Amino acid sequence: MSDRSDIVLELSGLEPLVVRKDSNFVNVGERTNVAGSKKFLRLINEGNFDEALSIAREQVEGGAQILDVNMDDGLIDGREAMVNFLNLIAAEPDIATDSDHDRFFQVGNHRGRFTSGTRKGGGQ
Amino acid sequence: MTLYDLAQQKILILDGAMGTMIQRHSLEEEDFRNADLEDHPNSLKGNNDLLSLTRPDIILDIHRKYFEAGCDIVETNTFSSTTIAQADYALEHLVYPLNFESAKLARQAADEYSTPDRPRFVAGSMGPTNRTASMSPDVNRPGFRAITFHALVDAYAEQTKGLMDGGADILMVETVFDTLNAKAAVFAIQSVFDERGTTLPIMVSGTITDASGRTLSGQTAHAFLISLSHVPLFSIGLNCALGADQLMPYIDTLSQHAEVLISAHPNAGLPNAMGAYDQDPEEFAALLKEYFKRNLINIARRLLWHHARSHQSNV
Repeated sequence: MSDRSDIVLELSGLEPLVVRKDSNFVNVGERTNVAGSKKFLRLINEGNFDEALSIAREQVEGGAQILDVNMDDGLIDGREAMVNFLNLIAAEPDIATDSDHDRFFQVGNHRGRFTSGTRKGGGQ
Repeated sequence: MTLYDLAQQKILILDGAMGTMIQRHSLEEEDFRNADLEDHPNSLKGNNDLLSLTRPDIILDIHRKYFEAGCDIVETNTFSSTTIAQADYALEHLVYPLNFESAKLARQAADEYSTPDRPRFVAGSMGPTNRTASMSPDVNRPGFRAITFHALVDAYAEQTKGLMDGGADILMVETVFDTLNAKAAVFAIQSVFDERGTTLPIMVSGTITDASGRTLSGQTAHAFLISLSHVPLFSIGLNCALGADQLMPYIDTLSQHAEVLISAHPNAGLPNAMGAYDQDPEEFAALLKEYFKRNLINIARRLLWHHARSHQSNV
């Protein structure tokens, strides 16, 4: 086993994301957050998941290593929107999340908030 | 002596395939039926898990053969004993007895061969089911899923209870091709543990489908490991799909990064056009030896070959 003492965070999408003490900044994409992006909120409200998905893709292409996906808004069925959105992300090898969403719902009391590890180029 | 003690002393030997051992018997539809199933409308031939109820003599004999050959752990005949997998045969109602009776058979064989210095163990086999929670079976609807996490949890919880009640020492989530299915299995197992205030060691074994080095759902071996690292596992490893030589780089990856024991359950090479395996025992043993030399694994698989000489090639 290799030395694990300097590991601070391990996430996995299709590929691992291991953050160590001496790792550089980790980029977290925040545009897939209904509380942080009016455009994303509007797309989810309209049920326009295709375009919402393209935001996730842009974030990853722009260097995001982690996506903060948040559907916590009074006007949205957060659980349904989250499951739908994450299922769509999981089908995109170039975005590709950790497949842990349902468990997060268990833990998170169905609040519909989730942070997912992602890696670029998962489907190579 | 506990499983943990034994694992400190030696490389634990797990049994080989159940399916190929069953195939040696020429079984017919009536072998898959008992009095209760006489009028069952579906064809049952090929539902090998059902043999634990209808031909327990065959299953018990296979367990004994593996212990006879030196295995420390045998797996229960329950790879498809979930409501989801048994739905194909309309036998969802038999899931609890399937798991309970299968665990009892393996338990009986283990107890026969156990000695104080050399205890033998029963691993309750929990297969992936025939549905996948993180992929869509319909290319036109990428967001669609044929099964949900929660439905898998319910099915695996029922399987867990049957296996535990029947006397399993270990729960083994195996042939993981979709990590979300495996997460549902370990979530179910832990829920049953919580409910009962008890625990058993959990083994997880994934499947790398080809030389891409990824599971069917697309994860690398390292990503697969991280995805399951929230659970206190007894071991993690890889089984099937590949022979020992093709499997080695991925076992190596797990071995480098995992904090738990490592298991390898390779096939005897790749299946030929007829679905049979051509590798002979000597070849298989030589490949496994390489794992031992490099100190890669804690748990290895024992295969039984048809011909008598297999008994001499003790891997």
